Amino acid sequence: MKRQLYTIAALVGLILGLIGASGSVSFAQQAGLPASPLVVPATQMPDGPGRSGGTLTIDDTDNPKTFNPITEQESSSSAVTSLLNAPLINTSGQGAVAQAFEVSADQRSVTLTLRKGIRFSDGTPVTAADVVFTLVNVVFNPSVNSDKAAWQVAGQFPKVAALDAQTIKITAPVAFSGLLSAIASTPVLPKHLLAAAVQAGAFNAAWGVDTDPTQIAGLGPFRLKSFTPGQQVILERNPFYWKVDENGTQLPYLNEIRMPIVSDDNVRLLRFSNGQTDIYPPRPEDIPVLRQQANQGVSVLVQQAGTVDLNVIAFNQDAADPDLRALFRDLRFRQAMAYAANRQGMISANLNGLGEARFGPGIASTFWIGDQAGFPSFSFNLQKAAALLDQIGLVPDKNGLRHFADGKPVEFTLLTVQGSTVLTNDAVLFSNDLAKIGVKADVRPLDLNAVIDQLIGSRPPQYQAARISLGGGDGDPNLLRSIYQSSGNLHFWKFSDGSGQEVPAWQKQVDQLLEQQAQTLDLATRADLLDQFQTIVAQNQPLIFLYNAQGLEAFRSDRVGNFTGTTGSATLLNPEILFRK
Amino acid sequence: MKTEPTEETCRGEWPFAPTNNKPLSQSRLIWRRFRQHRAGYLAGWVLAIMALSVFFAGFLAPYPATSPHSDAQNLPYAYVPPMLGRIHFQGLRPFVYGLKRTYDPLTSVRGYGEDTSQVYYLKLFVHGEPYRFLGLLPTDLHLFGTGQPPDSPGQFFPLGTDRFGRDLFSRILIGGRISLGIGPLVVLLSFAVGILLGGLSGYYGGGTDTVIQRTVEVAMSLPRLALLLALSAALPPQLPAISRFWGIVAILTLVGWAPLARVVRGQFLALREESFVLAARALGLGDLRIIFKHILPNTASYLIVAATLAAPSVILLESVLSFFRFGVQEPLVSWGLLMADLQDNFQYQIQFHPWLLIPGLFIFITVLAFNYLGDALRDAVDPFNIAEGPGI
Repeated sequence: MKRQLYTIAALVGLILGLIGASGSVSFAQQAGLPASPLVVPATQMPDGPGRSGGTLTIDDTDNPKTFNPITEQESSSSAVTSLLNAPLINTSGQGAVAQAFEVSADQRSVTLTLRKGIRFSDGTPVTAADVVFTLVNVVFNPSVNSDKAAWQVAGQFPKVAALDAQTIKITAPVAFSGLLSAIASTPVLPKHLLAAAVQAGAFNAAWGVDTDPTQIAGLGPFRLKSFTPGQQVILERNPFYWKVDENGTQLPYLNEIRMPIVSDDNVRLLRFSNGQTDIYPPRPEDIPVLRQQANQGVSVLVQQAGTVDLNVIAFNQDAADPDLRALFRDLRFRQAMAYAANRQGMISANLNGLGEARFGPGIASTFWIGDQAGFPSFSFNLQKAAALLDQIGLVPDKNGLRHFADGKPVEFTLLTVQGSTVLTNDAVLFSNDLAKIGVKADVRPLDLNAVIDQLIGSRPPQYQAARISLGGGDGDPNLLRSIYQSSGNLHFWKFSDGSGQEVPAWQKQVDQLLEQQAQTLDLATRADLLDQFQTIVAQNQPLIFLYNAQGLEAFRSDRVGNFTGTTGSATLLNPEILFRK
Repeated sequence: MKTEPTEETCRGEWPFAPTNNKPLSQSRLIWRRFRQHRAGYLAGWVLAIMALSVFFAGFLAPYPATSPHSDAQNLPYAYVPPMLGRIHFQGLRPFVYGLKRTYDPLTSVRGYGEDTSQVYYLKLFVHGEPYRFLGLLPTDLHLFGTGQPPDSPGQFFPLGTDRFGRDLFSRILIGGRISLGIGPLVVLLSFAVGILLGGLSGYYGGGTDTVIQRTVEVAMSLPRLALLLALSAALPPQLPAISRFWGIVAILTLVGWAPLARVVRGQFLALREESFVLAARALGLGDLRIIFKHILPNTASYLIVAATLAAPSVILLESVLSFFRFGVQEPLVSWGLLMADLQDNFQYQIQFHPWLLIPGLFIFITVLAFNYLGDALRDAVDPFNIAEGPGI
């Protein structure tokens, strides 16, 4: 008996040894791996180290419009580009493409050292020149449609210098609280593939969807294999990726990610239910349906923290119609609209109860915020809304319809995204309530890309009102500056602010506060400044804030390992550790 | 003393030997034969009741079609299940209990239970939400209901509610105006065009006939559904719902006139060589007079049958259009639109709220009834000559 036990132990030891040996062997043999890869500890993998190989399928919501990670603006594109690119450091403040970084004592500059032997997905080594090119020639380039607000402090961009081939020093003009999050939100681009486009002044159009996949390279876990418009995007593993698991196996585990393009939500749900896809970010109302399929391998995650998406109704204060433009610029009107938004009703009817009402820009899960008592909140109250409209001078006629002074009825088009039940039904609910106070809102669902085009594609924006959901960054308020600061590239509700015309006083204050908090390193002072910012925004309602939706995920736990979530749309989090069971 | 023949007296011997000696008039014969067709007769009644119900829909429905209901906290009474099965009786007085929200955390399904501490009696002729009787008379009188304010938990939704807490029964009744009305309306318009062109074509023959018939053939060869969808998509989206409705009627007419014109032409071709037409012509009557006074009345019975048989396809087409959201739009309601509401999250809606399929049942019954009625009318009018209706 004792003897037998001993044998088993010996066998176990042998197997362990073998695994160890093969692990180290593969470590040495993996040609594409940089000399000092980033080791992902098993503690960061829900299911532990996985096995290599296999294909994963997740539907993309629409055709990607571009593969350019700087200019992409909609989730159907970012679902792809987020897998193809990587920043110097990640959002939790660890090195990524940069092996190490050091923040100077005065917190103005960061010195980053690139990972030794790191290469782009086409095999070209990454150097400091690529980083300098990315920041100076692309992101800071006035002709490039990039998120400059995240990088700008005191009206200037940080200085970027290559100390040697591996080391970069980024120096802000003043102390800058958002420097690390700005670095973490910017992917490193290959200079050798994009320099020509920048030179020609055509960077915004570079890496369009018709680009040859071999001409697109990045530092993400995957690289583009093919794209057939209207059908699917195929990504293959990046053989030069710079992460390994504890056993030394190069990540990503998956060989391929297939992203068929399916724009109808119902069809995506059906495909997931039928097992044609492995991961599906469900709508709130899909949860009961999916819970019933639990015995078929479907797992549902409901995250209590909530998504960081901004669920808002926006009014275009630069609308072409002069009556509407004046109306939308009227604070009383926007407050009336905030009163008329039945948030609890939307949450209950359209979110299946999975959300919480919100009255300002705050995100409950981040350090600086929450919709705490003290912030102005315009909770549902149609009487107050009607009273405000009366005050503006929009008096209802005998049919209850309100008219402008020139006799035109108060009527606008409310855009929503075609196929998005939640957005469209929110809009319908809102429009039903507006009808009760004599304002007519025509709900018009449009294709997502058409909505984005109306919002930010054309200058000035063409829409009148829209029920939209914006990706809210990772909660660092500096990343929200592109939305709230008047010069931001997502400042779509009053484009003329960006060109410096007629900036209202409160907006100037917001600009100033955001600038000030960016230059403040002390967290308490920063939180205080942000409180003021929130109060002003909540008071002036440039956007009508609706709610925070809870994060919902569904995946096939019998097939997919190490699933850590998506960002609402088809954008996978931690795609490199996903594996096929 | 002369007595009218009653049903009893003529049953069994009909139609060959009426009990009294006076021969039955043509219309009476038709009525007899029509009643003989059991299914068709029943269908006629079903349609008549439906037509009456939707005509007085505002009064019969407990709520207006577009008014959403929510509780005192402004949470919509979404997806309340049909309450027909939740009527209780105290003696002979029917009542319902107040609505109480339920939530099953295991399946995350929300539902409604009965709050037995609150009792709401169902009453006749209650004052409820205001509407316009027959579209004219402002009133708030409804045939039945609980008479509670809109935010009370004491609501009576006979067939349940939709996602916004709108009463499905009221929506079906009021939506029936469009769904039932559009059939006869479009058929009438199509017939006006069809009779004119078909009549001209059949009566004159020759070049006129050729031109019109080639046009008809072209019109009939167009892919109907695709054309419908394309035309409705071309209607400007900012069009008010009412104008849009008339646009849809026009489009359905445009697509539907051709087969009718062809059938009318056939009738005219046959009739124009009849002796009474030749006689009329010999007397020197004008063409129009011959067409409208002599030929058309002789095709009337046939046209009525054809119209009845064409109506269901119009109803179906309207449903299809609305289902694809190209047809009638909110705030108007039609049965097709009610079905279209099912499309959003249809798995969730059908799996957990199957009562939302009821409007489909109404479409089904109506189309079936129209078909039976058409069959019965055809047999009654002329059991030998008319083979098939034209359809639209």
